[in-house]
Amino acid sequence: MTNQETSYHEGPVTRIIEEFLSSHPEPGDKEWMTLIEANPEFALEIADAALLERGTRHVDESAVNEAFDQATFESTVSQAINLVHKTPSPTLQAVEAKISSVKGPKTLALAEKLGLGPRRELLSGVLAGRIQAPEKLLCMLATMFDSTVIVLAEHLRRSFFAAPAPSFKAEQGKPGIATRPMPWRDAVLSLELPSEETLRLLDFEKTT
Amino acid sequence: MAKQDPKHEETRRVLVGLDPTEIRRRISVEDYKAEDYIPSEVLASLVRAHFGQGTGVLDAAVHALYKRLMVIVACFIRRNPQWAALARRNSDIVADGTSVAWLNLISDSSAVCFAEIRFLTFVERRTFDYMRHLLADKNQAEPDAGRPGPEGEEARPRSESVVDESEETQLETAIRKQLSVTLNQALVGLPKSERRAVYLRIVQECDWATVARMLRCSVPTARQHMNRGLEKLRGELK
Repeated sequence: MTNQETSYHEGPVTRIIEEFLSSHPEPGDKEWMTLIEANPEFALEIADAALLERGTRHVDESAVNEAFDQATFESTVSQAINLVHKTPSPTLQAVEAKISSVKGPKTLALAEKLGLGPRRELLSGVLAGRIQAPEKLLCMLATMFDSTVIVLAEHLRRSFFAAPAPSFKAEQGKPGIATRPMPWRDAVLSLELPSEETLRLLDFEKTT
Repeated sequence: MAKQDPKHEETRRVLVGLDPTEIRRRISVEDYKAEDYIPSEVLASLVRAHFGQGTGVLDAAVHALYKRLMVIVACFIRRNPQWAALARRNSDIVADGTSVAWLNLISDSSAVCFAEIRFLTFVERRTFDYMRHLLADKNQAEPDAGRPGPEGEEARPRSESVVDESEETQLETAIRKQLSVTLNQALVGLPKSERRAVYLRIVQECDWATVARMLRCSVPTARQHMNRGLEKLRGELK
């Protein structure tokens, strides 16, 4: 985006200093010297950091209301937006890879783990974005895939819109294409399961 | 995976179930005390996940978060006058610092990045690291007059050193006593080898052998670097 950005890169010393500042939010000269002695190969870079850090005044939440240079913002924000659009989201890619590996018997195993019992068609529908996952299930899935609710929800939304339109003829009435995922309740009821099992699955809609 | 603030987690769960129009409205709330204000940590999650791309949510989130980031970078630099020498050197320091932090935010591959846990600290750390980078780059091509040559121990004889032994000690003591913001500011403005020599010897009170080892030069050269630095700092003591 700018000239400086191209020459800037994080090195191992960045990590060392970050970890140090995490454990010593307001380090003194002694703490810095200990860090220098522990990392003699980066002594000079750490010395620079120590010098810069001396007497640092931190910013608090109220800073977001402070005046700033609107012109600089206006001239760079479009680059920031473009950069986001052209840079693939690493978190989204990671969850995509994990979900695409859930196939066949793995789906059944995961459905049982989530408490869906043998209802792997529900899980398949959720993972393909066809069925709206209730909040509780979304959170459980996020944990299972070592991801977050936001990332998972976005992945499922994209899966729904990326699914190919069915090419077969409608058996009853007019053919139609769903414009939004099927609600969890409708998906559960459509399975026509025994009432006890239906109630158990509908319980996923209850928020804790 | 890093643990997120439960309050932020709740906001994320709520946002997932909202209509894009409502999410955009909440993103546009600028007063951080307002009930519907979306914390920066949550905005960072939306941006990193490319949440709501094609619905206007992502662009709104980028717009709001980038603005907050720039405000914090500008405020952090403004509040720390000891970095003035670096700010003077680069007129685009706020824009550059912001873009460096932005790039770091969107390219971080961890499932949950630090910006999603403590945004303010994340921005401060990135800005700080950027300033350190600028400082390291500063005077990259500075003349290295005292460096040992292939033939002798040092290129410049010790007798040419600008401060003599006794005066050096007095200056050292005086500077140690007055490590004020102004002096710190002047220190940051010194060439690389001089400021590092002064820092290690004066602030950290390292012995000469240690200073020389860290600077990767001989003891006389290390002394020379520090003496030159002290000479330049002399004005700040008056």
